This record gives sequence, C-alpha cells and structure tokens, in this order.
Amino acid sequence: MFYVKDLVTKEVLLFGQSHDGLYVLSESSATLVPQAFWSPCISATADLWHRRLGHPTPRILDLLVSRNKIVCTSRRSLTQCQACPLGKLSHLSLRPTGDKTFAPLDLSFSGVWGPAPMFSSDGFRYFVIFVDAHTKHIWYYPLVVKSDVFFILQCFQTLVELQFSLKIKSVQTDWGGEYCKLNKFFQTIGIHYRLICPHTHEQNGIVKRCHRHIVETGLTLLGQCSAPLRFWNYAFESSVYLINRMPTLVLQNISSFECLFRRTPDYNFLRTFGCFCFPSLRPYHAHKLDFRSSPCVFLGYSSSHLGYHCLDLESDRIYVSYHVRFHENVFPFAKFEHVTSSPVPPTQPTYLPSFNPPPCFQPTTYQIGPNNNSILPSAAPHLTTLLPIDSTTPSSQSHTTILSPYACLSNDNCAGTGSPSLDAHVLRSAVVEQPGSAADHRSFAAASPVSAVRTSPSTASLASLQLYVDLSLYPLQHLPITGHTSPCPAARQHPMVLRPRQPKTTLSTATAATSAVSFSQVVSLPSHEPFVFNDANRYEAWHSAMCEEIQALRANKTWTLVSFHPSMNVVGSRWVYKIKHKSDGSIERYKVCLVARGFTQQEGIDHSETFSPVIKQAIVRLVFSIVVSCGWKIHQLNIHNAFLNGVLDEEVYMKQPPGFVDYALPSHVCRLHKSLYGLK
Amino acid sequence: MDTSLFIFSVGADICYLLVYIDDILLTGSNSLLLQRLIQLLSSEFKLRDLGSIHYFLGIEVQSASMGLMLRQHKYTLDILTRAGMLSCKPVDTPISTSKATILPDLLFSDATRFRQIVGALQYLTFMRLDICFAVNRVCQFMHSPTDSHWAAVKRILRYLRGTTSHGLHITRSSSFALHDFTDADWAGSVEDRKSMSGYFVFFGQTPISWKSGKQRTVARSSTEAEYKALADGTAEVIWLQYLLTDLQISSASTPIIWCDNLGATYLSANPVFHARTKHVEVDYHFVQDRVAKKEIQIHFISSQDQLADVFTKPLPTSSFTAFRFKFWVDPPPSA
Repeated sequence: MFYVKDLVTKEVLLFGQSHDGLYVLSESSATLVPQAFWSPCISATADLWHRRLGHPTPRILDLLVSRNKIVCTSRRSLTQCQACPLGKLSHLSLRPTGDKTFAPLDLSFSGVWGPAPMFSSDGFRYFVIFVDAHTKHIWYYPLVVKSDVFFILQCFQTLVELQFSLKIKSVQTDWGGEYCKLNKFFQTIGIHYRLICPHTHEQNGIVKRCHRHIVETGLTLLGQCSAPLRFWNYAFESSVYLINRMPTLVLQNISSFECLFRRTPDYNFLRTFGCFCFPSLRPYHAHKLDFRSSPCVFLGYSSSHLGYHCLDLESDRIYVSYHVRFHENVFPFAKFEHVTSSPVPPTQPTYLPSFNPPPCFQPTTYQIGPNNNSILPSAAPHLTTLLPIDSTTPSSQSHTTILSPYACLSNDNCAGTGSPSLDAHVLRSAVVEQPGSAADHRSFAAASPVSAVRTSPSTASLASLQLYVDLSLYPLQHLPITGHTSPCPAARQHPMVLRPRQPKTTLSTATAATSAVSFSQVVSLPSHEPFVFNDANRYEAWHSAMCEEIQALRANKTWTLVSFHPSMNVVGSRWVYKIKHKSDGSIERYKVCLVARGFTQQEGIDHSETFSPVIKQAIVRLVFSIVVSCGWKIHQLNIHNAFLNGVLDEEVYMKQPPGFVDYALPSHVCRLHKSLYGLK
Repeated sequence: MDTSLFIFSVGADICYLLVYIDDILLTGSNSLLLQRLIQLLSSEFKLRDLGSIHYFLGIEVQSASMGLMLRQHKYTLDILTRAGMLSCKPVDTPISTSKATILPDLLFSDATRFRQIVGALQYLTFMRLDICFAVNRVCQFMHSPTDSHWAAVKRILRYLRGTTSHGLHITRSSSFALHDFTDADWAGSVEDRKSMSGYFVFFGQTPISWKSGKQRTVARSSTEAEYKALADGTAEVIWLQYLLTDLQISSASTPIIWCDNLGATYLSANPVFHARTKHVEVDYHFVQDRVAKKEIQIHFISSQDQLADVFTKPLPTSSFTAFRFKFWVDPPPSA
C-alpha cells in the first residue's frame, strides 16, 4: 500500500497497491486528481524561474506557466531583478513633450550638420540650422568650422529679433562642443537654454528631421542635374529656400514662409536647380566686343540679392544676376559627367568666348597599368570609350595631362558618340523667362543673410578651382590606391627592417566607386600636397617616392644609427611633399624630400655657418645676353640631391624619419654625415 | 668673385657654370668641351642632363627672332591664381599716377597674405623690369600694410593679368658696351621725403641689371639725390665691368653713365665744391675718382630720353608703354 501526499499540505492525493516494489496507479485514482502527476521537486518561485530561464520578460514566464510547462509557487515576483537593467536596459519610449508655443521665436531649435566628406565649392564643411518651433521656418547658415556657431547664433538673434520685433525666448540644442559657450551667453541675456539629455538625439527630433529633409532634398537637386557633390552648399541652400515655401501638414497645409510672413510666397521666381542659363554679363566686360553673356549653370537663389547664382563653367566664377535667361530642360553638368565625369576648367583660363577647342589643345592620353584594369570603377567604360588609352607603351609610370572642358567637347565630337555640342543644345531648347517677384525675395533676403558669413569670393573660387584640378587627376591618382596593399618593391630591397605600414585606404570606397558620392571622395583627395606622413602614405605615388628617397639617402650614406644619449641635441625630421608641375601646368613628378627640423639647432654646437650657392639675377641675364650674342649653346643640368652631398663636420643627430623607423632599433637616432635639407 | 659662378677656360675656349643650389646652367664656346665637362660632373654627382634650356628657375626660355625670349608666364599665372585675381580686369600701368594718399588708413586685415603675394611679386622682377618700381613701392610697407597698399598690390596684379606673356627679349647685340641710365626722384617718397633712385644697365642692347629703391638718407637738393643715384649706378657698372673681365669678355669702350641732371653731370667732371654738396663727399669722391681714371664716362641725357625714369616715378600710360618698348619687355612677335 502506498500514499501520495502533497508535500506542503500533507493531504493524501493518491493511494494504491505496490507490486514487487513498483507503485501501480489505478485508473480510478488517476482520473480523480490528474494534478497528482506534478513533481514537487521542480516547483520554484517565479523569481527563480526568471533567473533560470535567463531573465525573460514576465510575459514569457506567464506563458510558460499558463501552458503548464513549469510550476511557480508564487505567480508574480515582487522584488525587481537587478541584473535585467544591467544587461539589457534600452531606450524608453518617448512621450510628447507638450510644448506649447504661441508666437514665433518662443522656442527655437538649433543643430549643426557635418562634417561633409568634402569641402563645398565655396569652402564650407558644416552647416547650422535654426528652426522656429511655432512656424517651422528654417534658417540656414554654412560654416567653415564648428566654432563659428557662437558668432552665427548672435547674428541670427540680432536678425530675427529686429525683423519680427519679437524676442527669442528659449533655444534648444544638444550639448555639442560648439554650443558650450552659449550657456553663459544666454544666461546674461535671459534666454532659456534648453538642452537635450546627453546622447538623446531623439529629443532633438525636429532638428534631425530638418537635417534629413535638407540633405535629401539637396541630394535630389544635385542628382537631377548630375552636379558634382562639391556644390552641396548651393543645393542645401536652395533646399531650405524651397522647404520654407512648401505647404506642410503640420501647419494645416500652409507653408512656414506664409506662417511667418503672413504672405503667400511667389512660386514664379523659382527655376530648376542646375539648369543651363545665360546671365547678362555686360558690366564685367573687358572690352566692347566681349560676348554679352556666357553659358552658366543655375545654382540657386542668392539670399542677399534678388537674383540667381550662376556658375560660369569656363572661369569657374559665380555671377549673381537678375537678368538671366533659363533653359530648364538642359543640364550642362549632365553633359560633362557623361563625357568625363567632371567639368574641368583649363588651368590657364582663356578668354575664349565659345566652347571651341583652342588650337593649342593637346590630345589627352591616359596610360593605365594592366594590373589595374580589374578594379576600374564604373567610370571606366566612359574613359575607355571616349579617351584614347595607350596600352601599348610600357606603363611603368602612368601620367596624365589635365583635361579641359574643351578637351571633353573635342573628344566628344571626335569620337562621334552622338551627343551634340553644347551650342546646339542652346539653340534647340526653348527660352523660359519669367519676371521674379521682388517682394517675395526681399523679405527672404532680410530674414536669412547667409552671405554675411561667407568667406571672401577670391578664396572660394580658388578652392573650387583647386577641386576642379583635383577631379581631373582622377585616372592617375585613383588607380594606384587600390593596388597599394602590396608593399612597394623598393621597400623590400631596403636593408632597414621596416615597421609594417597600415595602408589606411578604405578599399571599399575605392572599389565601390560606382555612385557619384564615393567617386568624388576618392578623386578629390590625392592631388593635394599632403602635410603629414599618414596622409601621404595612403597614396602609392607618394609612398614610392618616399621609398626612393630613403634609398637615395642610404646609398649616399647620409647617416648611421647610433644609440641615443641625453646630451645629444636631436633635431626632428619630417617629410615634405611637393607636386612638381611643368611649365604648361601638367604634373611632372611627385617630389618628396626628407627635411631635418634644423630650427632646433644651436649655433656653435651643431652648426657654425650657413651657406647656399645662389646665383645673382644680373649674372644670369648677362650670361644669357653673351650666349645670344656669341651664338653658344646652353645646357641645363640638375644635380639630384645636390645639397645632400655636403659633408657635415659637426655632430648632428636627427630622429629617424617617420614611417621608416628601424624595427630592431627604434630608439636609436641618426648621426648625420651628409647634409640634409632644413639643416643650418 | 661670385660663389656660384664658375669659369673654366682652356686656351681660347671658355665655359661658364652657373649654380642655383641644384640647378645648373652650363654654356661655353666649344660644344665638345661642354660635353666633356658634363661627363666629368656626372661621374662625380648624380646628374641629370636636361638638354638645352627651356625652363629654369621658373623662367621659360624660348627662342625668338634674333635671340631668346625669357618669360615667367606660368609663375605669373600662379601668383594670380593664388591671389584669386585670374579673372580681373587688366590695366595698362602697374602703378597709379595720382598722388598717393597719406590719409589715415585702415590696417589690412591679412598681413601675411600681403607679404606672401608681394614676396612672390619680387621674384617676378627677375625678368619684368616694368613692375620693378611698383613692387619696390609696395615692398616698403611689408611691416604694416594698409588697405590702400593692398589696393596698390591689386593694381600690379591687374597689370600683370593683361601682360602675362610679356618677358625679356634678349637680342643679338653687336657691341659689348655697358650703358647705365641713372635717375632720381627727389623727395619722391611722400611718407619720409626720401628720394627714389633707380638705375638700369644695358649690355649692348640687352638690359641686364636694374634697380629701383629708396635712398637711405634724405637729400637736400635734387642734385644731391641725382648724385647718390649716380654713385649707386657707378658701383653697379664697375662691378659688371669686373665681372666681364672675369668672364673674359673684352669691351673696348668705356662704360657710359647717362644722367639727366646737369648739375650732377658737371659736378662729376669738375672738382668745384659747392656748399650744398659738401656732405655728399664719399659719393662725390667715389664717382669723381672713377671719372678721373677714365673708368667711366658720365654724359647728360634729356629727361625725355631718360630710361631710368620708370624706376623712380609712376608714369602715365603713353610714356610707360614707350619705355616698355625700349626695354624689350614685350610679348613675343609671334603671339
């Protein structure tokens, strides 16, 4: 006979006869109380189960209990689990703030966007926007550096407070470094400064949404006309101009402009971004027979003038003009993109008024190494179809000449790819001309004087010119990057044991240059002269030049490595990078120079006299004159590392060159036997 | 006598070697000798023979009719690009003739930029004597440039924009005589009333040496100012004379200095002391000695023909263009 009792209540649940040590349950007793099959040894509290199951949510636990998979003695745990928040606390859902604004400027939001992956054509890297919470009106200011925000905010404050006779009551920003200074400033003038919690950008959702709206609209504008990405500032500015004039659901289907100025914006002033246009350029003429206009690209609305921004493709200059004739169906950038992926102005601007190729145009040749063909980006088909690729010549050293828009067009015409020249387009397309609305534009100009903080036009145009040239260097610079992962052969022969270099090239960027974005990023980088080693080492051209230079110095027995002693005055060393141009502006070579930072030398200790053989100008002219009069021949010689042949008598110690530190003896210094650039 | 000029002569043949750090010009009367010399040099140093000259120290060398054309076309364009003045409107003269203002002027905001551009312009005077005076003028304000000085720099750049292809035209000359034109603009400097002096030396028909500069001391009379300029010019001519001797170029004729001030001309020939000129004794004796030894001759020239005028004062367009024509600073005939 056996009994089954509840462990807790001691109540008899089952009983039966045992046979040979086996407890046999009769059917009648089983149907009577089916719960008797529970095993008391697996019952536990809900907390225990919570821990056993790896801290699931209460809902899962409840589910398991209700399906009779597990037994809980107590249904719900009263003590909260400590480990759960440690392991898996996530953001809580955001509730509406309940902010109520009654007038414009009651509450403004501000946020900085950037850095952009490239400088804009007029030299900007960031932008900051101010959004009014009541009217959702956006004010846009481009920035060169983030720290300009403080100044811009003061400008903004002065502007809006005067224009609307209202005071800014509160401002909300994140606690970015650029805003830290504002706290004290706001305290002194009584503006309530609201901060979002650190790392809680969702509290700044309005600004983030505006950023997204501006950037997406801007990219769409750039995409529609295939403009190079460096014109982002113009595109974003136009976006803000347009967004402020769009009706929005939040404001019961009126635009923020209307809400703020109580007037409907004039939509007839608007034109298609990036389209072809002819501004009237009479006042800029050098002489009376200059053409009255030149072909330009429309790049948005001037904020301070009642007029349009027109980019002259030839001179890369921005004209602001009211008298503009538009061809809204023609996009000049698209044409250039189609041919060469970039509009490149001539490095020596000419005053040729038309797009006819000048007689001095030299045919462009690209030599592309055979090993690089596999990794050509999508732009390659254009190159191969339209540009003569000289693959027969051995391409030990690829070179390029700068491509001008004339070249593009002449190539275009010669190759006969079917796209007619620009002039033909101009003639065919219909003229659209509508008078702008003065009232609309002036009010906008008053409310957002973006140009007040612009850099000077001269530097801006310089920067953009530089970028144009950058783009043109694409075939030379881009290709070696991808092949960089294999070390340079020169480095292998080098007797020094070199530290492994980390090629910082983002290979994905280089290979996936299918989109316009990555294309421009890769292209615009390499043709500048880098300032630091890490920057330069990414590019094969610079890297191999450095290897060569080190080899030359080794062969010259410029230094020996000695162990460092505190009594030594050790001068630093650094690389100097210089692109050498020929007289026609094309690239001759990439010159790299290891220089000693001789300004830390001390007279009497490690230098005694300075000397450099420089010829007097009068002698040069005199000799030229004699040569001409006597009919002699004149030879030009160049001594490689001439200065480096000088033997040093003094004891001069130098740090090992960056990137070429001896792996075995990293703390040693170079005892110089021969002179180096930069030494006294 | 010069650390970077080497002369090598074998018998009647002679070679000149000009060194500018690692750029070398080699010329001589015998091309075989030149080849030997290049071989010798290349055995000593790692050397590249760039062949006949075409681009040296930023100077483009082109053969033109009757000689060579030396230009700094690319360098000029580089400066214009750096200054952002590529699309400016050209002017005819590098400096305005109107009186410089001495009104209080705002300091120019970016002094470094001013110095960079002016420094770059200074090298341009290597071949461009037409801007020598204008560049010297703006160079005097390197320490604290004002807005009006920057305007003067921009004026030079605008002039250059219209004349980028100008350069020095070196022609075959029949004689190796030295002619020196000296001039002074008495009390020409508005700021401190010092005088400007300039000289300008022709070798045969080619201008080879020129200078425009402010005199170190204040001159009390125009004759004194001219006399100081004369002394400067004399020093230069004598140096060139020694240099020519070194180069074994014999010039039969005595160098002639052309001066447009009668007083100064007479003073150099006639040892009559005047109360007004006693304080210029050193200059006086220096020049007078040379004249007495017949090392130089000093001749009078009328002010209209005085070529060195362009180094001492701003000139109007018509006379400036005329001077430029005489200097051989002109675009090449083919262009």
